Amino acid sequence: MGSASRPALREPSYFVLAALLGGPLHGYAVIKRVKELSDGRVTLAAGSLYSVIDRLLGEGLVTADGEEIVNGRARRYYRLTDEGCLVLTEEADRLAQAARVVMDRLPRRVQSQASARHPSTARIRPA
Amino acid sequence: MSSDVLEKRYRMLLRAYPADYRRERADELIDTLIGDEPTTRRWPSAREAASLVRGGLRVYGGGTAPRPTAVLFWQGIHLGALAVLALGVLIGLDDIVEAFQFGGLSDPLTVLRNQGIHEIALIAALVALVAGRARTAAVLAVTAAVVPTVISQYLFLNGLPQWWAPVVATPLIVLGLRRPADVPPAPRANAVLVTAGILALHLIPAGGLRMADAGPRIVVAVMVVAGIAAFLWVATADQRLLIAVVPTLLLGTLHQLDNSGLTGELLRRPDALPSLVVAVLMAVVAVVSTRQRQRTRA
Repeated sequence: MGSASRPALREPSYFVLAALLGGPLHGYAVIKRVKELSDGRVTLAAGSLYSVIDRLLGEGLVTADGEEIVNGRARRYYRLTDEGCLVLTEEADRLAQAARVVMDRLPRRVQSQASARHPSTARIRPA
Repeated sequence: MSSDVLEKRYRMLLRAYPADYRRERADELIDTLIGDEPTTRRWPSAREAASLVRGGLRVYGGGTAPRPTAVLFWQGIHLGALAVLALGVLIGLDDIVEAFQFGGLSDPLTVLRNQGIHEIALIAALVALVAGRARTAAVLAVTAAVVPTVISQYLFLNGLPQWWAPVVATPLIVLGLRRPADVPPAPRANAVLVTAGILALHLIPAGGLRMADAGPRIVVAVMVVAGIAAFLWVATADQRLLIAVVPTLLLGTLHQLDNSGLTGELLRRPDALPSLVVAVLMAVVAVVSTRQRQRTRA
């Protein structure tokens, strides 16, 4: 399970896994949390969210964690599995390393200009 | 009240998903769509609607299957066989109507011998395949290619596309018999819908792009662009369509090859070689990218 051979997570999957770090969430809460964590950049529609969740369930990175009935409808919760947590950690580490490659080499002047222009929304794409 | 209306409309949109998936997930999806906040909306947003339709198409295309590439490939070739037989039936019916319009009524037996027997055999093969009787469909497709040609060589000698339909469909049907047990067959209603969609794509009068008048040419160009855009919108979510459309374009190419040989016409006709090459490339990309995604962590 070397991280070097593991392909990168896609951005929506990354943020969905990150949203579940704080504990089990249901679909609507995942959408809100992903939007919050990505500073509004990743806004998942329900159809897209469930495509991501289905893939993550298939990979064993998340698992269903109970249901409750709200307004007469089943509300299912999802949580990170140990494998999901490991994959997310490795991905975050990989992104941090990739970011460091650039940040360590950028002249200080450019760094301060960039952070002044985009204080919190500097985008780091998964490779 | 508005939330009830909205829920009803969302449930209509959820019909884009297969019935099994709806049984498992419909309530949960509705809960996510409606959310916790009070809403006065009565209609789903265009973005949510499009996302649900594409989500349903992805599930049909094998997105949630344990082996998505296998579903894509095996159901794709089954849908391709269906589409090519249906296209052959459609072209055949059109030619029979035309034959009766231009003097065939005075000699209906000749029309029946030249085209009718082939058409009946082709329809029988199509019905068998829709009904899930693949072995019977394979036998009927071979019959449609051989028996009418023995009785009358009209279709064969004129190189008409409907003659090629069972020839192209047979290997696909026979290959489909080897579908692994863990790959489910395409649901019948969905297969019929996919076939109708591919037929609709072929009904766009793309030949009009070569008309001299600018007016009709613009209308046809708009129809072609809209048709291709709609097809790609659906096919990028349900990639089985990228495989299913290939045999139907092979039909046009074989017809051109038979009639004009390796001339420029083969390259100029929109329903012939250029479209076939693009379609084959897209189908290969679909299979390869699905395989890669299968290996990729989500």
